[in-house]
Amino acid sequence: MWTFIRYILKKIALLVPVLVGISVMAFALGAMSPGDPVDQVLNPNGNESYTREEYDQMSARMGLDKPVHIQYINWLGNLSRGDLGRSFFTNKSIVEQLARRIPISARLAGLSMIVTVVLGVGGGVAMAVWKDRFLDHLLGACSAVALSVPGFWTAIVLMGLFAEKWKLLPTSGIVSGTGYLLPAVTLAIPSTGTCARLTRNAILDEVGRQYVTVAVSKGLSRRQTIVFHAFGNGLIPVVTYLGTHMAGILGGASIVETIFAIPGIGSYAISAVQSKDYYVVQAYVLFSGLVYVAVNILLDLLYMAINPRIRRGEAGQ
Amino acid sequence: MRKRFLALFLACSAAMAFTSGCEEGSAPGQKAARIQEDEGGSAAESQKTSWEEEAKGNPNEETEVVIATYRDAVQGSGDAFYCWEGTYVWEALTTNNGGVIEPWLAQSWEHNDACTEWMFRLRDDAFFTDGIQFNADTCLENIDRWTHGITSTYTSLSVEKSFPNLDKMEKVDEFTVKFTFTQPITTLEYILSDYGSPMFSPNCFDKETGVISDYAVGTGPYKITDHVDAEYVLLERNDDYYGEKGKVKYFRIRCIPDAQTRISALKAGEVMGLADNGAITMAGAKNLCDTDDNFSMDSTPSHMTEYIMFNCNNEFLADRRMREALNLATDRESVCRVLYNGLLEPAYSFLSAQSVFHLDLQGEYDLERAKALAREVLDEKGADHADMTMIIRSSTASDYNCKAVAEYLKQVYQELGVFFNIEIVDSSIYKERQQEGSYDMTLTVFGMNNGDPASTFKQYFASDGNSNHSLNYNYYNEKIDELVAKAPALADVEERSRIYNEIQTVLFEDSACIPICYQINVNIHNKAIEHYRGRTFGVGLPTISWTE
Repeated sequence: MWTFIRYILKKIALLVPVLVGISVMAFALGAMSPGDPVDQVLNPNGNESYTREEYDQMSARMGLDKPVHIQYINWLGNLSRGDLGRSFFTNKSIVEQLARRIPISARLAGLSMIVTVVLGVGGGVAMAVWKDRFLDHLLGACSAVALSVPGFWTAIVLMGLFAEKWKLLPTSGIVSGTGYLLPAVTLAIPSTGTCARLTRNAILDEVGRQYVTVAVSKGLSRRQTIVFHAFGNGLIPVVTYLGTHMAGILGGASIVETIFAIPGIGSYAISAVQSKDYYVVQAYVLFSGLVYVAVNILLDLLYMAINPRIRRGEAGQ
Repeated sequence: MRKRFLALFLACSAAMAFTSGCEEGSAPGQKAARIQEDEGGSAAESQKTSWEEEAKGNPNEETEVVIATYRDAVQGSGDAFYCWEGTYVWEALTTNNGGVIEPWLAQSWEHNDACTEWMFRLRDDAFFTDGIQFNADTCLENIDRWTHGITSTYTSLSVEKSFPNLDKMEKVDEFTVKFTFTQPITTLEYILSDYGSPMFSPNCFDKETGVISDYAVGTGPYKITDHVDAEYVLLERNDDYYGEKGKVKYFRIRCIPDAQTRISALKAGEVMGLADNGAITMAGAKNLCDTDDNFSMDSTPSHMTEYIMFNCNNEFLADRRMREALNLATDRESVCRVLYNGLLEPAYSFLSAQSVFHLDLQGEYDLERAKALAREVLDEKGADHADMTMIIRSSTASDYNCKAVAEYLKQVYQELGVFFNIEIVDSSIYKERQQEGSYDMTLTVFGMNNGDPASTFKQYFASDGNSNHSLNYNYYNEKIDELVAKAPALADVEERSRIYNEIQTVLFEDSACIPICYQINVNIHNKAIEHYRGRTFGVGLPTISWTE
């Protein structure tokens, strides 16, 4: 147990410079991105004029009249109090917006993950079990197609079939829970293809190892060997992939969220980038960076849980 | 085997529980909205069924009409206007109805000969939906609210903008307000139209900050009963409205940012119509109506015009002959017929046909003369050809088919020896490029700031015009400067109109910019609803009803 706690503390300590780096990057990306937020606020429709005095007043009000390093320190100070500021453009609290949108993106990510795990891992195991048979070739072809089809195209096809033609699901929005299904499947299709191929290859790598030969010689069938022995040991690359996939969607599946009118983190980021909403972009970069860090820690813990060799290695250290 | 089955069953149950757990809270009065909440059911079929069932009673009273826009119709408390004018929640003192200024919350107005004192007689029968009467006091409280510098995504709102050089404002009687100015102001009724003077109940905003605390409360024919940020706003008819009441009791305006998804939602029957500028392209609307008999298209004139604006710091474009050459080589008739499906009218005057001050000028297409003029300029400068850059804002390119127009112009202008590359850039980069002056031409779409074109002329074409400088149009014409300076002081509308005609003629003759076509608002709707007519801002909600 102590080993485990020490391992976690070590990981968290290593995070401090990473977090500082993320905060600097988040701030710098917002500050350096093209466009002038003061002009954006004073001239929202691009068709209005303002005086230099009005510009200076607004700049001071937005805190953009100060040197960049002071702006960064002020931003960090507010951040430490849990205040990410207000959107320059809509004047809405960013924390409130994130609090509302994160659960929506999380639901989408969760549902997409379920589809990916069930179809991707299941398909991969089936491909490994029936290696070089018809099912393997069929699923291999399907996964290749799934991998290569662009997400926006999948979205249009799914919407056309399930909403326009068969009228089974809504085209967009989350007024009903079923609104999550099409975007989740759209997000899951390419990752399912990758996951299936990864799982298949990882299991087949394990199948060539000595402990599998021993298990077979003890009388276990090939299917039992794969499912009960090789599968667990081959999970690490799959879990790594799934973790980063999850972080990617949690951090905002911008295109899919915009297409399906899902008010999650991704669509928020897109509208912020379009309107040069400085603080929102910074908050978004910070959030997505933190999500990746958190997911990486979780993955490390999962590795320990899945693979006894890693556990023992940590204990040995 | 049993374990595997159990695992599968648990996984399916978890997925179903997860999905059902995603259900959002329902809004009041959303009978037809439940169309979309039927478990796994078809939104469109349900809406149709629901409507057919309700039709036995009175569908206008029971079944909501769902309309989609590309942005949230409610921007919320942080926005000076809180919501889009097309929601019909708030009203202003005057309104610009197709270029004509009409009374709204102000019944009439008058000013002294010097145009320094203006009196507005307010309606005495208008009530905010919280029961408070609209009168001189509430009007002045609203104007005081504009001093707090609340920003907006629609347009700016300030006392300086709506009442330039205001000296004092006072209540004359219960329903009359008087404004006194230090400088003459001749077109106050234009400036105050629509977004120039939104009126809200004093109970719904903070007196210190001017921020609307909860929902906006206006005097309009509809009121907000629910709003979910970036999803939808639910509107309910104001049954105590002083004017003609809305026919449909409930409207839901959904925010669907993606253009293709909006069309899919329309086809699927989830929404009954699309509203707001750029909600659907002309080609998209026409194609949909041509292929599906369930939809009908209606177009209404817009105050937006498509222009080519020049950066006159370019050595070739600084020469009037080169600008004229480009003007002559622009075949507007073909652009309108081919690229805009024959729905738009060619533009020659700077002011839109929707402006009451529009001057009907007619230009010509003469490629041979254009070539000769361009050659003259190129030869004088010792150049074989001119290389230029045209920038287009990405949103304009997608909403108005500007990319196709630019590609067409690129081919035509090549014949004059003018080669330009097209750069479609994001809004913020577009502004930056303009402010840096790193462009030669821009294909853009815009309308006037308000009903009076004086400020627009000054802004774009006067040598001290703000946008002329900051956006690097760098246009200079002494005559324009003189006329632009003269116009604001003219109290007589006829006289002012004469000046505006002269300005338009000079701009046309000098090819200060190239107006290409007058835009329209395309409104498409399902035939299940009727009287779906476009307005300056959105569609006229009060007239819409379910088809009998």
